[in-house]
Amino acid sequence: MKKIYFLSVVTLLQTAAFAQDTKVAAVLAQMPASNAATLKKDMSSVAELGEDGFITLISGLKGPGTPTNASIEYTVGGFTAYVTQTGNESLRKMSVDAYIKALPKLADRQSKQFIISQFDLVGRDDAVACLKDYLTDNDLADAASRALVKINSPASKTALLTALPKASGAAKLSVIEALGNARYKAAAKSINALAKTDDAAQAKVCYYALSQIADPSSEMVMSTAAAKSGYKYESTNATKSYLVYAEQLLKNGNKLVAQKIGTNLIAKAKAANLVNVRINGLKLLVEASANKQALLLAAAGDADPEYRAAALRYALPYVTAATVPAWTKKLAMVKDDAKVDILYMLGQTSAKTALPAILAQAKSKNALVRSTAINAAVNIGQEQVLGSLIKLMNTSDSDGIDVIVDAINRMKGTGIAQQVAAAIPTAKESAQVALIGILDSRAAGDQFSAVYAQLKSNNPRTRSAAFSALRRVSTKQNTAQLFTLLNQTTNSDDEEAAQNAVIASLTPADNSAQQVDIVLGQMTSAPESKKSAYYKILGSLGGDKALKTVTEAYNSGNADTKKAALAALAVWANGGATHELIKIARQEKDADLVKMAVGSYLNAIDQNTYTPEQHLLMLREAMAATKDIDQKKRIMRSVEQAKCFDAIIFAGKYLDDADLKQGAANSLVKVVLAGEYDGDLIKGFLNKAKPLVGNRQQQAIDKYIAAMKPGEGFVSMFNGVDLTGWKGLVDDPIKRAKMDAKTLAAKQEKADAEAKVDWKPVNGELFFEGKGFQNLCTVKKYGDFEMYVDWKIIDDHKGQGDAGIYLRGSPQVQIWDTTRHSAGAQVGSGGLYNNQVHESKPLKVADNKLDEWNTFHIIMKADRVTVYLNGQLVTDNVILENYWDRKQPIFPIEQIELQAHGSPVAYRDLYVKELPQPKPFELSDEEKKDGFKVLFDGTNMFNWIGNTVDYTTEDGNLVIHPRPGKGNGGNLYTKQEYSDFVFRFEFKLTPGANNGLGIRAPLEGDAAYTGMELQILDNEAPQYKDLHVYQYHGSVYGTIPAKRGYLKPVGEWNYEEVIVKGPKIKVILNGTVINDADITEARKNGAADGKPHPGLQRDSGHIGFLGHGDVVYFRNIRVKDLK
Amino acid sequence: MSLSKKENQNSRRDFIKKSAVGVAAFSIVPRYVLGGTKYLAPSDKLTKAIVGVGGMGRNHIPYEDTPVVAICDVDKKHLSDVAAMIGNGVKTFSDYREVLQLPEVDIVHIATPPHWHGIISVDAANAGKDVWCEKPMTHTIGEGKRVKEAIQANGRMFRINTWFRYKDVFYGMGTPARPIKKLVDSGLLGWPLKVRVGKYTGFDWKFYWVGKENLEPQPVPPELDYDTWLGPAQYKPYHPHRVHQTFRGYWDYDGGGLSDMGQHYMDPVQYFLGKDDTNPISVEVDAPQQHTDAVGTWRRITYTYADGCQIILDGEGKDTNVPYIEGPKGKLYPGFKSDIPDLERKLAAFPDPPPQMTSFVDSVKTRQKFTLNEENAFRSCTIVNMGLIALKLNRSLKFDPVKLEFIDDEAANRLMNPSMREPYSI
Repeated sequence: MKKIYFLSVVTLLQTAAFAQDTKVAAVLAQMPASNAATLKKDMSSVAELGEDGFITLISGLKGPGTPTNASIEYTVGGFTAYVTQTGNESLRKMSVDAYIKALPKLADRQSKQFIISQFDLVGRDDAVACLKDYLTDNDLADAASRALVKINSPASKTALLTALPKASGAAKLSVIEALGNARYKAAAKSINALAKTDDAAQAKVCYYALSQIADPSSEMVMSTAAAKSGYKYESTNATKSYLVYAEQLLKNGNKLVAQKIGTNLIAKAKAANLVNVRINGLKLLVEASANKQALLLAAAGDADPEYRAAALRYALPYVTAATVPAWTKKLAMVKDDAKVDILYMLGQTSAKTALPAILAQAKSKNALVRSTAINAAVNIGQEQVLGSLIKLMNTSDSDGIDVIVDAINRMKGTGIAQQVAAAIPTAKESAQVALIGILDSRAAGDQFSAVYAQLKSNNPRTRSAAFSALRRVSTKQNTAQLFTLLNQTTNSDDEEAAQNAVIASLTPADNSAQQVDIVLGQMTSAPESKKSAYYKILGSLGGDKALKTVTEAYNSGNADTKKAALAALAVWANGGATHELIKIARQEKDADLVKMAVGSYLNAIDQNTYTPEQHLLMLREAMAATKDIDQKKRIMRSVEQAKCFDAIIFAGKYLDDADLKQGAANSLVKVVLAGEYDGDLIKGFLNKAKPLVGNRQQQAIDKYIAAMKPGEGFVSMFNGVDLTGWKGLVDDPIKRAKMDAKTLAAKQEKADAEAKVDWKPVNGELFFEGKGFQNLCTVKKYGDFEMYVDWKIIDDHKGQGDAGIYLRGSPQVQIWDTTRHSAGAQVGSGGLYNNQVHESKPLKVADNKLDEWNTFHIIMKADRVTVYLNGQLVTDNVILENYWDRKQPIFPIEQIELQAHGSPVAYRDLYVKELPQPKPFELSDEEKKDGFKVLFDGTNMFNWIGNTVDYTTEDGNLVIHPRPGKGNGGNLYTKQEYSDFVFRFEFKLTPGANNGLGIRAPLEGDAAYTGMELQILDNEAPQYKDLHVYQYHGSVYGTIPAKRGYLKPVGEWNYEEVIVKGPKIKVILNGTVINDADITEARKNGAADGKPHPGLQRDSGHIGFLGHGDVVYFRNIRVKDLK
Repeated sequence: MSLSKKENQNSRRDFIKKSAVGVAAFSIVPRYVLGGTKYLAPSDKLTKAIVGVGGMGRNHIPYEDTPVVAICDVDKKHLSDVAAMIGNGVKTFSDYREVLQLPEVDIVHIATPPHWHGIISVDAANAGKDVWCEKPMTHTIGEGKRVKEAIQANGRMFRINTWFRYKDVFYGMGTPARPIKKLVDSGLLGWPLKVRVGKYTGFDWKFYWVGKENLEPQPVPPELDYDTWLGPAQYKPYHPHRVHQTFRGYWDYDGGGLSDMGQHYMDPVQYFLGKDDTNPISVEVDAPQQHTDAVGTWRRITYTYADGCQIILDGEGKDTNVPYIEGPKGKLYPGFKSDIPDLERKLAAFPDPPPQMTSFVDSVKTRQKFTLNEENAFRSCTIVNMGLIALKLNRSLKFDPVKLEFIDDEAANRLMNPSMREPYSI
């Protein structure tokens, strides 16, 4: 297909050479590919250039900094990687040939180096002849020798060796190194000779190469060089190479020489500063010799700790049941520092037979030996050594006990807690504390009674440890006992411990309501002074009843009771008391209590998770309630946690506040930088905040502003002081459109006057206080847009709270008091209330309580609306129906209105951003004359029924986005039915995509059978290689095959025309008739696939898109009814 | 999860910490006593040299309070700036090999660009020095293997300069890695696990580390020995963007944000998944085509282990509200939040993870391996390098973690161990 495309280019342009350049330019223009699929596509177009074309492309390399350099590098590098994949062998050969032929054409040495380096990946023997010519070139020998090493064949090695005598300088070194990397035995002799030089660089490279080749003939050269260096590290790396040489010999099976070298090095490198060489020698020797055990045991007693430690690491794999006795014997004989090392090594094995010897060392006088032994014992024995360790505790000092506790805490086993508990009564005090601590950190619920018993201990430290452990060992079986304990406590620490223990025993609750009743019962019978200790317990359970009890206690209690109540509300289960806390903060007169209430409210916010929008709303409630400057600062700092648009607006209001501007600027900048915002408003805030933040942030701001998308962004719709930009409501859009200018102006004047009475700006907020239904409308009309608005239903205790946001002059995104169950308001706000066909209810209830603010984020694109309420998605891309005339889609552009519904409501922070609206598709004059009708023009889906959820509008296209786990994405049908017709549309496939055009389909069943399906399919995708012909794109599915090969590449738009007339079905794809079917035969004798196709008999039905789980794009859909 | 006070105390008190205290309490043990007749330090403190004092190297100056006795850099300006900063007559060098020959240096800190890490680490080991090396450990898988071998053959101590497996809050997780390890070991999440590393779980992939294609050659500034800066890398004409603060954008020296942050982010994952001795068996990439010289960005890299565990690196940061770790029985979100009810108590019943050696000075003195050593660091760095190779080729790769080679992909294997420019070798 592509060939055809290029042929036509050739014909058009007439001259082949020019065509070649055009093709090359076309390829280069594609670079770089955006993903693997397009890379593959791009690389197959490189392949189509052919060798000559590719050479032409490469010859464009003119060196770094020249205009086409990067795109040629992308193409060449991409092609190199592409051709190395299995199955691309012939293209690999083509690339090698092309690189070889292109090299002489390149003038610049960087370009040559770049092409030579391609052989690193694509080179085989076919590249050797070319590469060998560059081995004597000082500039290019590095690249050429690298590639030859990678080719790694007899020919490449011979080429390197042949070049050796001819090369000089850097080239020579490159060749030597490459021979080493290639481990070419035949080169040993020559390099042995070259190694005898005074040139340190050459010597170094030679030693390296010889070490890699590891030919026995090099032994003399290598050992002499190492000896000459004094076995020290120096610039020729002689000793290192000598060691690697021995290592390689060993790998090649030459144990004898390796052993000899090892022994030699251990003997020669005696100096302390050569211990690493001696270690190296030991490693060689151990690996090469038969009696490893003796060597390692001897080394384990060496005076040098580095040598010892290394020897013990080498010994680790050889510790077995059979060798353990030798090691434990050694352990007893050596000094303490060596003991530590051996114990550490044994601890890394699983040698249980070593345990007695190790445990004996756990009683050593040396603390380090002791702790190493304890840890080794636990590593090996786990629970098995628990008894010994507990016993050891009683003779240990506090550091020793800590070591044991740590060891027990990481011990695996099932009876640990039980053994620990059993040991408590008879242990000494410090051990008791430690043992209780273990039960605490293990949350040993089954050992409650052991801990409880120690609450009465005469040892004060034991007693206090038992109290602190109480919380973690308490379970629901212990609640009753704990209530008694709580009532008996005599100091606040014990009381708190008991309180927490009760909470812990109740928390994994099965039935909170029942538990609340139990707690309330206990509270009633508790002594008066202990009642307030129950508030937190109630708070841990939560629920309305508990909340009411504590709130009432606050309202009627004395100062201490109030404080205890606030403390309980602050930690209330799931932040369930925030509403009460903020209410107290608003109503309380006592400044200290207000501060405490706000503090508790802020603590509750910190401990729970909210959407950023909700988080911000709560911070704003706190800001309004507090008078304390420190709390205000804390709130302003917390704003950075609430990363959302409104947070920027809110912080932005405080940039001039002397006390808060610092915090405001910090939070504002952090919120902005963490998101993607644009527009003048944000830019203005950033510039204003900039002088108030640190240097790093300032740089980040500059970078951010420079990267901002162009455009005005969000603009304020309400100036906070008057109704500029707003007007009153005159009838509805349809009626207004019919009015003459004069009538409209008169009505508008009247409406504006009413609006001024009903709508009042107060402190930057906009209140509706009227009685009527006078909506406030924007002067400006909006098409596609995004808006933010905060709203609040004011509780007038009439229970009729209702309002809403009209979009495009139409009702509405609903706002109502969710307690109005009779009106159905329990579903929450944010739904498209007046929808009849499409969803009218919100997805969930996300409303805040009356008198609290809420945030709407509304997005309207084409005929669809998305609403977030307080940060939660409540309306997901739902079509807004036209309330004023249900026979037409929603108006493309109209005013936004704030609804008045007779109840008091307030709005604030209104911001809108206009979005670009796609231009609607229009019929050509010819089509108009011909009687075509538009079914989809990019702005609405009014003419369609069926699955309007997965099929949606996006940038003027009709797109199916099947949701995971929701089947195939379903079908979308025309509202009208058609029998004979001409249907024209465009579509774009994604890789492997499958969909279908249903014709004469009913609305039920599998339309491929109950109607007919004209296949829409990326049938070039590999997964479809075994398709039946009647499944190709354009086929009458299962019945009559279409011609394959006329689809545009995936990602490009196809144009298709379908003509259906009686039994004749013609499909024209991109100008070619791919199917000219007559179903008469199939109607009579059945379909080709042998399956029943009742749809073949139908004369009429819907046209539709039949989803198959893949993303497909459609646009410009029109139809001509032939009946 | 909030850990109880007691548990916190215990978990912080690692055995090794204790043993080091033990050492100090019994005798002041300077290096010359432990290590034989080496240089006698002015106190019992170990000494260090820093190779590469451009950006990161300067951060190494205060590490573990060991005095800097020598610094080395191929940029004379770096050298004079940092010498003035340290004072105390610190010795300055432009050839690291001379530094390695100084008897008074105990530990060599390597803070050069990554293409130099392998060579200097191996040479330092051969010179009998212990090594503290910047991440990523090495620029290629082949070099990593060689470093591991050289460290072990010479009985050296090695640490890589990342630390999240044992201290500090692990980026977006808002908790150290140790409790995560305990949770994973407990089996409460089930198996296999999927770990997501991206913006939404608190990990930034730093895509500002991208290179510029087609740099126009510029004159080399007089203070810079550019040829040595290039070292083992192939010769390319000088441009300031290639070196110093921006080298991460070039394949010859590093691999962008993945290389910069990958080992920080994935080493703790290897630790808590218990994969310290192995690697994933496949890597898949979703990325735009990469330039042959300049590193670009990527959208997603997915690693899969033999047992089905996965690490998903999300470069787009598009998904929100996904868990950091997801298993068949439970999920873990940033801040140690989980869908497992009453997790704290359930988890308490399980044993603590084994202790870790968390001070390199202690490691050097006691000759016990640092918790981030040549073996596990090689493994976590190999994950990074697997990703880089898959990006360069823009295709999915299969890997054999035992043989350390890619399966059925000759090109990927060739990229694993590129040759070095003479006279450099490893």
